[in-house]
Amino acid sequence: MSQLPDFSSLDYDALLAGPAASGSQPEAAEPWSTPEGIDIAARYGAEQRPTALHEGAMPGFPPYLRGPYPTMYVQRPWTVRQYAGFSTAEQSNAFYQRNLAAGQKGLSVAFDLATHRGYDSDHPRVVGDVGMAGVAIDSILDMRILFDSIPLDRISVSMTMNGAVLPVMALFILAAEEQGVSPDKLSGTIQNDILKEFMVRNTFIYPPEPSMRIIGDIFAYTAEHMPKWNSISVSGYHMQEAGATADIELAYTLADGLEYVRTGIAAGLEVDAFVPRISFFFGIGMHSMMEVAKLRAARILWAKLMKSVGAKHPKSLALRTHCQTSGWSLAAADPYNNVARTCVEALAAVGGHTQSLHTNAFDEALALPTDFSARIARNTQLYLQQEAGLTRSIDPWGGSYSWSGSPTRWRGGPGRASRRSSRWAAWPRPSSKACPSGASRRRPPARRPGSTRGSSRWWGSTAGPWKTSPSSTCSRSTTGPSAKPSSRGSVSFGPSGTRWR
Amino acid sequence: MSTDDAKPLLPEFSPVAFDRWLDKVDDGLETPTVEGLTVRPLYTAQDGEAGPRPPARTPGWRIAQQYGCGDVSTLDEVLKRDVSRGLEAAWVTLHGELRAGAAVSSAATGSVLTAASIPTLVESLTTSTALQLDAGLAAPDLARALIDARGKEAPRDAVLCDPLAVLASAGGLGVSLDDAYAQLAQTTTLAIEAGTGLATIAIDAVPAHDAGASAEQEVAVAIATGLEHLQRLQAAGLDAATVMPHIVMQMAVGGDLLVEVAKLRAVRRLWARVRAHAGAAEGAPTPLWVRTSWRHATVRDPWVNLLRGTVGAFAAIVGGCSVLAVQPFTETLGAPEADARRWAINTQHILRGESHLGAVDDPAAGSFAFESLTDDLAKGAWARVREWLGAGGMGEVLTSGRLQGEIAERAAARSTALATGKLVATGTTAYPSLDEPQLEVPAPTAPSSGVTRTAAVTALPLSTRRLTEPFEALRDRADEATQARGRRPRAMLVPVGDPRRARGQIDFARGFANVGGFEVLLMTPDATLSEKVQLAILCGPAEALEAEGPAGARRLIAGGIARVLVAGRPTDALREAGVYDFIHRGRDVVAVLGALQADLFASTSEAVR
Repeated sequence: MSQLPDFSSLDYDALLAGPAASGSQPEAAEPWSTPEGIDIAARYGAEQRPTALHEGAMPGFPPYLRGPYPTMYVQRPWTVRQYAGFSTAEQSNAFYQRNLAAGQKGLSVAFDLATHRGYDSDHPRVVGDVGMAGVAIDSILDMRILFDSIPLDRISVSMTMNGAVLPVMALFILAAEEQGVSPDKLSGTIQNDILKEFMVRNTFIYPPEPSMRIIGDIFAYTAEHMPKWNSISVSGYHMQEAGATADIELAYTLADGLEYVRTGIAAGLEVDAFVPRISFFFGIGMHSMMEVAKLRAARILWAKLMKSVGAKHPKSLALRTHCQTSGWSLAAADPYNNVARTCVEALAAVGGHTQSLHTNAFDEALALPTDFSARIARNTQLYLQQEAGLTRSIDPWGGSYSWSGSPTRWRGGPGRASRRSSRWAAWPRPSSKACPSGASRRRPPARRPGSTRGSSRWWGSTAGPWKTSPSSTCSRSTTGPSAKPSSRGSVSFGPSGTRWR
Repeated sequence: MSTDDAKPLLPEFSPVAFDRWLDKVDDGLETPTVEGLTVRPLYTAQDGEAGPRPPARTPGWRIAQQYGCGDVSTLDEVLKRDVSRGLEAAWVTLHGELRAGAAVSSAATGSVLTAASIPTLVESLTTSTALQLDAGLAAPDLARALIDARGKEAPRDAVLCDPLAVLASAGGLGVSLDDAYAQLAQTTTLAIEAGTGLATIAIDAVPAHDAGASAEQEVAVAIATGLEHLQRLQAAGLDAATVMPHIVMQMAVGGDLLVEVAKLRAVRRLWARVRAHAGAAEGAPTPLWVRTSWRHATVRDPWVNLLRGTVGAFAAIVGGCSVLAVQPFTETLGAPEADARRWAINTQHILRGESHLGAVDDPAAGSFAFESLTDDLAKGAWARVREWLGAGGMGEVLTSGRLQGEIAERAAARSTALATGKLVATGTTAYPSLDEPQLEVPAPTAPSSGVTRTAAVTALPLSTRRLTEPFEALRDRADEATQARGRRPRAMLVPVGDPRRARGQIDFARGFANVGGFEVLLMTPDATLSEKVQLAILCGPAEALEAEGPAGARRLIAGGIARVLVAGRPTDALREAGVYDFIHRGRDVVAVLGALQADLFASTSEAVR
């Protein structure tokens, strides 16, 4: 019988140094191929982490692999920004005020479909849509009520508005002026991303070229008058909701971003005058590792792209983004499972170092959130900020052999994102010209065999937004049906509604 | 691909030195924790080579839940249902007195099972669902019965005893430690002879966690307990290599992702090194069973427990657990019902099937942050282990009460951190909801264990106190006062100066009042006072409080407000004006609110009488 050594005589180094641990190695599992076409091995080692990129990466320095700001969440956590709006301006305002009192830090306004499409609420074509999936705003009277008692010099406001961007933004600026807040004090974001409307989201009003001219005009105005305002939120979220894999979402979003930069340049603006105010918006799905890698890849690819168009200022190279947990991944059946889904997606968004985040309410596949479900959604973020320790250290995944993503795999695997985006950057017809032909509409659903996604979700029409068909019908739903409907007595679901982001 | 590798992906950007980052940031961004380490704001490649990785294992884990149901009939029904929902391992904890083999004073909960119950239980499980009993001194009979009931098809079953952990949590054992280990050796011999891989030896650090141990202490307890087991079983004739396949390690995870991942990686690293030195490195890595924390779960706003369970599970999986019990979110409220148990199981199915968390072994490997924290914890824990070995080993530091004292010190530090806002429990210590929906959860059945024997060896029992209990007591007292007077106690928030500039203080005061169960009314100093309000809090920036605070306080007191507080730092002028107390970040909220409640609620009940 072998004797045990005197462990008390071993210091830490001696303990680590002693006899080799000759434990059996597990059998090498078959690599698992993701819908992005990336092979995931069962184990990663130092050889998969390229030293030059990772060892020389610091947060706040281009190419921003480890985050766009030097201290990231350590000094200021991401903004808890819940997308909301329904019914009338009065009701939405009351909802916003309750949320701000309960720990939310920024607003994100959902407009109804009529407002998105530029119709007044009494127009016969929008009967039934008014106040359904967002708040109805027809004039300054509504906008004034919407932000009543909300200090617009202190609370940043994000507005999801694309087609009817000119009147809505004008009304917002006016409402602020009435509060005594000048445009230069306003912080927030206007989505203003018309290209993805043509691709997937569908609330465009004008044809692509005049729409792009509006965007150029907004760039010019905000560059001059609204230095704290994000003049666009280049959005991949809707592509993911429409079925795009992470690499496709990333590639098209960056390509759209590049197209907007070209629009600004064509409008006669200096690159460094407007590019720092371009922001992004990504969807965060269930595959945690992929989503973290996607956000990291997005930052270095954007830095590379902006450098290539002549950006000089470090701020022009930094990709800042809002994220939202995936609506696609939620299930209408047994909705309390969605609490865990949204939570793990939020973890990935934070792991990828988003600047602000919306977490979906667990009942969003069924109806507009109630105060109860909105509270759990908001608490998901507060929990991650307050209890999970994620604001104590910057970029905890940085350096991870598997999660931080290696250029090898960005080239060979997620690297296809880079290839795709450069291919699109070099596409003979820029995105705005590609849209009417339908080329880009056909691309997002291009799923490969083995994809876990549904087959017909991407073709959202203006009447049937993607948020209404959650993945509960998908064969990959892992949790199975509930034996009985699981809504407890204390929880009721409101009338069915739809969400437009 | 190799030609690609040779080309830098981003030739237009040059590497940045750590010092350049350091120049850009302020000092003092480190976070000291009560866990035995300080979390730094940034970890980089400069932190050096990563230490040895925890042993390689096939990624993935078994989906478990821990059960402490009353008797076999309840348990049988519960297990049948949960197995149909995808349960892969039933982790059943026996009644505390059965485990200790003695009638013990500490609260004893858990299942009352005997050898005769085993066939029924096995019947309710499929052949692929493991039965894992925390059996303590009741192990020999149960092990024999389980071996008989399973035959050759034993899917990684376990009938476990950790004499030290049982002694620590129960405060006593019915036999001496020597006898307990002799019995453990016998059970293990039985398992070896049966040849079905039945695990018999637990290294259980969960009681230390629940008592409030730091992460470093938990790791040290696990390793020191394991060493004591090896030593004593060797004395009983079983060497390390022989017993190793029959050992499992049990840990609990709280909600701090960075610390918890590092904790599990540290304990796996240290134990692998211990095995190597003990000549027992051959074979599979020691299974690590993890359950989500009881200590961190709350009674108020229990829905946040769903989030705690998800993040805890995430940490456990990344940290390399082999069996995971996500505990139902209503565990703190009573005996969890079918839905709560199912959502706990589903959390794991979601992480496995939808998030693919089981696809990669040790995904934290290489991360500058996780590797540094792992190393910090492993190094600190090993130093503790050596100290305890010098003091006679785990058995000695436990029976002498030294361990309990060291853990109590950390537990007190954690309680203070929570009371002063350095740590937070979402929904309880921050942003509570006074009108949260109430869940009706049946009380756990508590059958008698039938054990009457007195303890042969005793130790100071480790407490099992949830972190938020003092805060929940505040809310309970406020609820009682609400019952007594027919409406919630109220606090009036009074902005001083421009209300728009007082927003920060108002939010802080609102949070403070709500934590104590006070409903909040926002008023102006010259508003007509409601006679029903006993508490007012002046809120404003320091300059406004200095200029207008004293006059405001006098006006409120003259108007009949019993207690006037200020959301800000104390000044002489405010004290002289009659301000009762000052609340600000860093104050012990539990103490301040407790004193206020004692004053105000007592006077109410008198008035009601």
